[in-house]
Amino acid sequence: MKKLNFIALENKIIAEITKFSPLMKFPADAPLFYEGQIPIVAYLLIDGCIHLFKKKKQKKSLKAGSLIGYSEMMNNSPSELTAQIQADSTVCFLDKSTIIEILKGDDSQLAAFLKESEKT
Amino acid sequence: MKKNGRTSCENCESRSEGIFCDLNLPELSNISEHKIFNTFKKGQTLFVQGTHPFGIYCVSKGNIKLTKTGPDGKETIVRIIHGGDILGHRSLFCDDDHMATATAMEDTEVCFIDKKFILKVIEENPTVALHVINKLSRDMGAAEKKLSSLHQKNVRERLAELLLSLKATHGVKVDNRWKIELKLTREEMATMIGTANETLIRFMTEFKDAGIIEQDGKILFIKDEKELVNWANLDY
Repeated sequence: MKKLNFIALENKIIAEITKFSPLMKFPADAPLFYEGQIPIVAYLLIDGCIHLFKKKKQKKSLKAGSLIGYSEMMNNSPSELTAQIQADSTVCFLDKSTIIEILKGDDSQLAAFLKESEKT
Repeated sequence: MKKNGRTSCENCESRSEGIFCDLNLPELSNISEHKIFNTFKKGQTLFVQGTHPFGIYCVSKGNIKLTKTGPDGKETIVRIIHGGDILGHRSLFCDDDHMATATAMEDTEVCFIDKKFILKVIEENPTVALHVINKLSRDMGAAEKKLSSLHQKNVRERLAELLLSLKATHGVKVDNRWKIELKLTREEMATMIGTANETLIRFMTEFKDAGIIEQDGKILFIKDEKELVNWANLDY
């Protein structure tokens, strides 16, 4: 199990990612994934807060502009933390198929960024 | 992490019951490579009511309850999903948010496939689409049956019907009895037939006194299936 990666993104990359996926708002607190699980999509936090827990103890809070679950999903690597999103937070999600499309697509800045992030 | 034999579609113990049962090995291997396999512990949530669906979940092992929370905060069990079943298939054809919350009732193994990928699989393999349509049709039939039961049948008949349906999906024949090891609470069972806790308890006692069922903690045994069918009044 590798350490969970969360990346703070530049506005340019955030704008690129939001072109590929609609924004979605969580009406209530919800788990995104649990400790030991592989995230099913990567989440880009647009607004609100995501708390990260290990053995029920809060370890960190992520703020807008953070991307989590990407490297774990692409590498089939279980996360060592639980991610819980707070009510009224907004995210943009990237599933595996969309990422593969982006990576295959062209030599855009986003594709280069994702290729680099996958290794981390 | 490479998918091992246990988590691959080719070796899934529910393969023959799932929507991919007609696919050949290379096609299954393609899905295996793309899907995400996870284990959920008892009480962990797969998705929450009101959130956006990302794709479908294939349950390989274990049971998951789908609960809908009303405006008063009361939870109703809409459906129980077991090994070989799928979840989130409605989202393939509409953009509605999840109408219920999915929670693991025990340690459960689930594979997730994103919407774009599954639609591509359907495009290339129409038999998968037929299995999904079949599943949707059965779901619709069950929903219609439940609706008419709530209107036309009394609590005794609805409880008998529920026990028969749990027997069909989760029952294991042990000697002359059907064992249902789903460990539902009385409150959960009451919500499934649209009645109060106290009423359910009263009728469970009646069923036990009549020698139709037995209980060992939360484990249920159906002793007299024939009589249960009579009590369910299945003819109408």
